[in-house]
Amino acid sequence: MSKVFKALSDPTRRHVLELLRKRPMTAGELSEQFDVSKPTMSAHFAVLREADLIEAEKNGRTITYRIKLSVLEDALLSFAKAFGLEVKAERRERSRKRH
Amino acid sequence: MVKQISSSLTAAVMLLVVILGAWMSYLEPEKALVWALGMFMLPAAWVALWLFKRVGVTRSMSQSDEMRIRRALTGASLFIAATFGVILSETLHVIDDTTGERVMGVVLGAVLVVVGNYLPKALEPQWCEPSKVQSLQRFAGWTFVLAGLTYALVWLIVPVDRADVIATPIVAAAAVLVAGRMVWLLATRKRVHPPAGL
Repeated sequence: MSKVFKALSDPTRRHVLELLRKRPMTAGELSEQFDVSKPTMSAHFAVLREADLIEAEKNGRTITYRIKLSVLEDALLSFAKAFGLEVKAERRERSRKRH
Repeated sequence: MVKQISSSLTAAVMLLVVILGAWMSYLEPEKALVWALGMFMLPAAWVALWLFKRVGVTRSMSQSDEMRIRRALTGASLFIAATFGVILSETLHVIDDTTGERVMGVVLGAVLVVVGNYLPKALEPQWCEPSKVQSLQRFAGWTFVLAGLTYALVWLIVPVDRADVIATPIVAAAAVLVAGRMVWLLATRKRVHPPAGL
């Protein structure tokens, strides 16, 4: 469950899930929506995969991501989106990096 | 979000079912066949799975498939254990019939909530456009979770003689809604073909 909270604590990852809620998308299509580097996006995808919130399907050189949210996780995503939740640990980690 | 269920947990739940079933067989020997069915059906399925694995029939089965089956067996065993527990408590006059009915209503509602919760997570084969399948799964999940919660709530607060009349149509309506949307999707689907060369 902590993996799910960690995955949902980041706005970029939440946005990825929001996009995937509409339809499955390729890694390229998803990356186009964000102003971040590809390695950073890959790291985000890895966190989401680790939390079992998305599933990747490789087709040749294309990776298609599909959402895998249970109803509870779906509700948590909406809750996190509405209230902009951030896990304390994640915030602490970010402020540590800043200093 | 229980992903890992150990064999010992599955065995412990099944053992609990056998103990409760044996107790019920002792108290009500005339229904021994019913209790035996409840006691040994799932352990038999587990033994069959183990045997199939030994002889190599399920060689292609992945670890996650095996975990899924074990999770289903544990969940079903828990449900049977709860049912046996309620019937035993009623027989021993620990709880009255009304409380027993209420508890079973809440347990059934909880089962519906658990099944509905995991429904959108089960990835479907590509029998239709992925976005539409995804949307159907999400709809079905939410519908069953809400129906399960309402079902359990009705059994908790409505007088027992009226609870069944109110609760059953709620679940039936949820099933009709999901089935209706599925039929509509099947009728309007565009078949998905695998990419060329695959």
